[in-house]
Amino acid sequence: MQYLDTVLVVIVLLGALAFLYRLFRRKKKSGGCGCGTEQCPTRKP
Amino acid sequence: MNTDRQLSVALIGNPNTGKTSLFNMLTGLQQQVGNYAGVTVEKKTGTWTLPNGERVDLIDLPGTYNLNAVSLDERVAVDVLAGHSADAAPPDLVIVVVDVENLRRNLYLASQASELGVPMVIALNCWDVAERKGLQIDSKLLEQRLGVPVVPTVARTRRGTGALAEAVTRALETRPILVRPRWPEAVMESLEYLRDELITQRGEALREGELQRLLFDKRSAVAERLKTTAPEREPILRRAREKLHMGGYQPDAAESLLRYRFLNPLLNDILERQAAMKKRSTSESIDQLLLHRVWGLLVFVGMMYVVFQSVYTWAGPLMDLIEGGVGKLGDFAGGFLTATPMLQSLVVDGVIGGVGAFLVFLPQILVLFFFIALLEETGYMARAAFLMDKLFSWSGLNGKSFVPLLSSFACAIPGILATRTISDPKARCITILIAPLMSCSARLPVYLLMIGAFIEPQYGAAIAGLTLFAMHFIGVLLAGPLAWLLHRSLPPYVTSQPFVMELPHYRVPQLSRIGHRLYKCGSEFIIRAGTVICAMTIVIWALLYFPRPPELAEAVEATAAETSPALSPAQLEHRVNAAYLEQSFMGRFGRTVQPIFAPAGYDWKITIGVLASFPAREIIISTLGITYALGGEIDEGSDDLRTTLSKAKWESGPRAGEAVFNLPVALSIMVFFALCMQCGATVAVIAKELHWGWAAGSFFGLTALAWVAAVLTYQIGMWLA
Repeated sequence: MQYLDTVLVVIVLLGALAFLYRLFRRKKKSGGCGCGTEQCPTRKP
Repeated sequence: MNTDRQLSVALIGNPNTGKTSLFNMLTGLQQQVGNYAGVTVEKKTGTWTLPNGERVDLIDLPGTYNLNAVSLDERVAVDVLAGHSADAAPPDLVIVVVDVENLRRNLYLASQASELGVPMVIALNCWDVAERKGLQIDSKLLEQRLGVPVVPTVARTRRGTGALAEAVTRALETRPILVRPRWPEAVMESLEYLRDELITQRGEALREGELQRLLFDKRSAVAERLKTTAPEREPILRRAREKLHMGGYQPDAAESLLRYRFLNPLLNDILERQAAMKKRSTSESIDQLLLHRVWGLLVFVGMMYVVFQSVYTWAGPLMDLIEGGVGKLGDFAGGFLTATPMLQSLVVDGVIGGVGAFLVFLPQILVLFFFIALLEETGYMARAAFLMDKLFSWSGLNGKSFVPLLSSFACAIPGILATRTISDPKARCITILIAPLMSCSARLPVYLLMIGAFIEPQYGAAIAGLTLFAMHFIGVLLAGPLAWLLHRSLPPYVTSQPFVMELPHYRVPQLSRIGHRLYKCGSEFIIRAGTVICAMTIVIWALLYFPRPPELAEAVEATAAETSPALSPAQLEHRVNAAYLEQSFMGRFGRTVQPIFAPAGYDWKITIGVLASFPAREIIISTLGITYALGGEIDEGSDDLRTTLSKAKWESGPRAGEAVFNLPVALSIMVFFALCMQCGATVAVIAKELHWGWAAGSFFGLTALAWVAAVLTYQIGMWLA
C-alpha cells in the first residue's frame, strides 16, 4: 500500500510539473494559439 | 475578384462607434466591448455567413479617426486596409461603421479609405439613439449622394444586421466606391510629382491613397515602407509639400480643408435638419454634475465606496456556502483515502486546502465585477478617466494613458496592450511602467483574505469596504509621482498630446452583456483555480511535505515524552507536523529568506507565500492554505483560512507565542501586494512591448517600492499600536 501511495503521488506531481512546463515554456515563433490577435500567426478557427 | 481564397470584409470606423458589437453580432463571437474608446487595439478575425451561404472573413479593426496612423493601433487598421498586413490579405470590402450623431467627422475617414480603392458599405450605427433624439437622416438620400450602400443599424440589438448582410452580398459583386473629392490643381501637381519620382523612376508600388498619405501626412507609415531610403525620399517628399504650399495650401491642413469642403455640400441639408432637431441631450445634462471639478469627484469617490462596500455585504452567504462545501469535500476525500496517507495529504491539505481557499473568494470577485461592468456599460468609466486626467495632468502623463490604466484594474496585460493607442512613445513607455500599480483582480483575493480576517470582524463592513477601496487607490496615488519622476528623467520624444477623449452616451446597461461578462470572469477564475493554481498548489505541497524522514517524528515524540508528558495525541501530532513543515525544502528556504521580510513583520510562512506568488499573485492564498493545513493548524474550530490566520502564533524566536498576524502585518501584506510586480505574464508583456531591460527594471523597481512601503506600513502601525 505504501508503494501504491508513493507511485500515485509521484504520478500526480509529475503531471502538475508537466502541465506547468507546457504552460510556461517559451512559445515557438512559428506557432500560435489561434486566438485571432495580430501577434498570433494561427488564424482563428 | 480573387476566388482562390475566402473573401474578407473589414470593419473600420472612429473609436467607440460599435464596431466590435457589430462584429460580435455578425460572427457570433464574444470579443470584449466597452462603452469607451480604445477597447480594440488589435485586429480580430471571425467568420460571417452571408445570406447567400457564402462565408467571409470578418476583420474587426481598431478605431481610428483618420488614416494618418500615428499610434500602433491605428497602424494596424491602416496596414490591413492598404494590404500591408503580414498576416491578412487586403479586404475585398470595407464596412465603415459610422456614429449617426457625428456623421461629418465619421465620413472623413470613409472618404480617406475610399482613396485606397476598396469597395465600401456604410453602416449608420446607433440609429436607435438618433431616433430617440429625433434626429432625421435620410439614408436613401445619403446613399445616392455617396454612391455606396448606406444601412441603418443598431449593433447592440441586431437591428439592421440582415439588411447589412444583404447590402454586403450585393456590394461584393458590384464593388461600389465612395465618391471622391476633385483635388485642386496644386494637389494634383504635387501628387503627379510624387508619382513620377517614386513610381515611375524608382519603381515603388503605391496606390493613389498612399501617395496622398505621403503628401498630406508629416510622419507617414507609408514612407517607412518605401524601398527608397530616407535620405533619398525625404527631399522628394519635402519638395512635393513645398509645391502644395506654393499652390496656396498649408500641407498639414490641406487635406482636412479640402475633404470637408467636398463632404459639406453632400451632407449640409442632412446635417441642417439634424442640427435643428438637436437639443441638449440627457447625457449632457448628467455630465454637468458628473464632470464637475468638485461634485464630479465627490460622486466618483462615493460611488467607489458603495461598490467596494457591497463586496462585503452581498457576498457573505455564498462564501459560507462554498466554505462549507470545500470542508465537506475535504472530509469526504480524507475518509476515502485513509489507506494512502501521503496521497490523502496531497488531496486534502494540498489540492482541496489550497484551491478551496482560493475558490472561496469567487462571490466577492463577481460582485465587484458586476459593478465595474455596470459602470462601464452605462458609459461612466469614460467620465472617471476624464476626472482622473484633471487630477494627473501635473505628472506629465498623456491623457490617452487613462483608458489603458483603467483596463489595468481588471488585468495589467490588456492594459499594457491598450497603450498602443498612445502615439507619444515616451508617454506610452511611462504608462506601461506604471500600469502594474493599478490593482488588478488577481490581488483581490489577497485583500479579501486579510480584510476578512483582521478588519471586517473588528471594524465592520463599512471600514472593510473603505480599506478595500484604499488598497485599490494606493497604486493610483503612487502612480502620479512615479510618472512625474519618469517623465522628468526620460528624454523627450515628441510633445505630449492633449487629452482628447470622446465621451460616450450614457445608456441603460444590457443585463445580458453584464451577465456574459460575469460568466466570463467567473469561468476564468474557476478555470484558473482548476489549472494553474491547482498545479502550483501540488508543487508547493510537495516542497512543503518533503523530505519526511521517520526519525524526525521519533525524535519529536521522544523529546515531548521527556519535556511535556501530558500532551494529548492531537497536540503531539501537531508538534510532529510542525517539525516536518519547518525542515521541508520550502520551510528551510523560507527560514533562510525570512530576515529580508522580517522588518515588514512576516514570519517564514508568509515569506514563502510571498515568494511563491511571484508567478501569479493569488498563489499566496493557496500557499498559506497548504502551509497551515500541513502544520496541522486548521482544525474543527478554524475550518477556514481566515480564522486560522487570526489564531497563528510565532513558534520560535524573540516573539514566540505572540500572534503572527495583527492589523499592521495584514496592512503590510496588502500594501506589498498592491504595489509589487508579482505576475510573470505582466513582466513578459512589458518585455514584448518595450524591452527586457525595462521589464527587469520594472520588476525590481516595483518590488523594492512594495518592500519599502510594506516595511513603513508595519513599522508605523506597530508604533501607533
